[in-house]
Amino acid sequence: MPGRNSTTRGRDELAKRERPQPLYLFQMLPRTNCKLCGCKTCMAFAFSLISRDKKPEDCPPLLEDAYKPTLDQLKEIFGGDVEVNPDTGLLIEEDKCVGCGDCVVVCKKAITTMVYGGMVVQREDKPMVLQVVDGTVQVVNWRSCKRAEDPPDYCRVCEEKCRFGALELVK
Amino acid sequence: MIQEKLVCTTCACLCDDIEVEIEENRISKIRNACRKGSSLIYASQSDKRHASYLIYGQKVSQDEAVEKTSRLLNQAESPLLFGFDNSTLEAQSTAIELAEALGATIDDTSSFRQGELVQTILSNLNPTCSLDEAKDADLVIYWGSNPYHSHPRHLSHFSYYTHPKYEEAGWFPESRLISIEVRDTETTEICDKSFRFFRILPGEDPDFIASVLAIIEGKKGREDAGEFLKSIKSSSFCVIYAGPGLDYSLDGEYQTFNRMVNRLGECTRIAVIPMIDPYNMRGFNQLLFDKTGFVNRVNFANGASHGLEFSFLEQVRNNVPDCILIAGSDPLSSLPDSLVKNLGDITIITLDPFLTATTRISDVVLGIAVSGLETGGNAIRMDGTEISLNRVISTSIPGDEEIIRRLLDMVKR
Ligand code: SF4
Ligand code: SF4
Ligand code: SF4
Ligand code: SF4
Repeated sequence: MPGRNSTTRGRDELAKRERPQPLYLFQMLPRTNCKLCGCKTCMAFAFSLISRDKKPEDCPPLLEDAYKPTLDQLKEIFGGDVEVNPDTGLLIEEDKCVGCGDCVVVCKKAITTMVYGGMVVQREDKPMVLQVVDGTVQVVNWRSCKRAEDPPDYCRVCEEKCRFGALELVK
Repeated sequence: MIQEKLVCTTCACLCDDIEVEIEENRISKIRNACRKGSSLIYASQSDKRHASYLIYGQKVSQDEAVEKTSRLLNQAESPLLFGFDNSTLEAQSTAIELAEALGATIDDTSSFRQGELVQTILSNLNPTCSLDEAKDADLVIYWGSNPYHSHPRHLSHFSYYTHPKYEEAGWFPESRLISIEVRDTETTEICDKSFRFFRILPGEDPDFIASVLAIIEGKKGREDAGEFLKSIKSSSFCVIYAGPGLDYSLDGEYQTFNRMVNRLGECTRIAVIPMIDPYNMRGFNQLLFDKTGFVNRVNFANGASHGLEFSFLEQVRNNVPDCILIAGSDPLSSLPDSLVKNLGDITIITLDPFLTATTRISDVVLGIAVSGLETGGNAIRMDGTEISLNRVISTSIPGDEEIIRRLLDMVKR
């Protein structure tokens, strides 16, 4: 039957799944702060790349021949069509998600508990934020996310626990 | 639109919390199943799925195919029945009856891997427990197994993340995770953070086990084996999920592993659960064990005899069978070329819901319903718990139980 075989990945592939760091991206950019992209600095552009507000092609100097390898590399990091959930800033790369459900269960713990004075305190039950639907994770109740609270709690648990780099919080 | 509960029969986790939406007898949405499970469920309703009856590649009626099969089995001097790991308990027990009626040899994929381990567990040579009990384990060990690829929901649904004390999304993980592996995997990555990853060289497991035993007996041993022992001693309940990597490395010789587990059992509560892949391999093993005392490789020509010579591989290597009935398994795709050529002279009959490498070389193909989706029945999860499967899609295609039962009736006559 299809899909019954197990496979494992090498360390290289595991490393690729780490989230892009702003400083690392900044170092790849022309670093002239020319503002052609509409951002005040190259560093600001790096942050806009991470939040998916800008695409690598939005920096005109990167389109020059000399920067072709850099552009390709950035396109690889930010390639693929992804949609950011506007309410939580949660980006899901379906291609990478295997539907293991780790994020679903850790998020459930995250939204129903809080740390208070070094102790774990139980909170009221809430509908879960995430669910695996048709094999990949989806946001089903964004209102339950700690980031949708007032004031927001910048929780990152789901992103930290995903072993496949399929979840990214871009805000 | 109807909502139904479903048991996923893609791996031996048999996740029973799958919810499906059904429209006009087709599944339109699947909740909770991992990608591996969802793909198989959707593949089952693909138009390309093969569900017909073929004799030498020509389409025939169901009756013609069943009659031809029973004739071939009756004429065979040394028939072999193989597979049934993706069949329900009901189909498996009918298949064992068929093997008895024919005086045939019967074997399954546990003969390639993990059969010996299941045999030790069923014979009470290794302590075990159910997955529900295993949720209380404060030390979880994956040995030669990367569940993220073979059983994607294992950690989130049954082990590490389900520990009652796993508070606040892992900020205070009370359960600890160990992985014994030859390479980096998603599982070893968590172990690096939450506890320990013991990297061993391929084939080094027997040496590692011998070292653990030596240290228990007060002798000197490997440093990593010493640390491993220390972690187990400091736990109150430890579950070892034994995977195919361990089996491969031990080459099915579990004696020293059993000795180690039993010695470790003197210092803490310990249980071994096999990480079985096919959803009902354990069911086949259990049924055959109950009848003959062995989990696989049984010949019914003269009572019930067991031996390596009755394994699928040895049978094919020595050109013993003249007719093989294969159900729900695709041995051709994993067979070495030297053995594939031996299959040329053998009549092959395959029961499978899908087109596979094996169905392509089969003389007779019987397309069957997908069990657990299009037929109900029961199955045994990797831990020995019986789970009942829920039929959610109606079809006119018969399941393997029905076909095997018809064959049994015809063969008996
Ligand atoms: S266009 Fe490129 S080089 Fe200019 S500021 Fe923006 S990122 Fe920097
Ligand atoms: S996003 Fe990551 S953790 Fe969540 S189900 Fe997908 S692979 Fe698993
Ligand atoms: S950020 Fe926290 S609360 Fe929001 S989805 Fe992720 S784990 Fe859940
Ligand atoms: S872990 Fe196995 S049984 Fe559970 S949903 Fe995935 S493939 Fe199906």
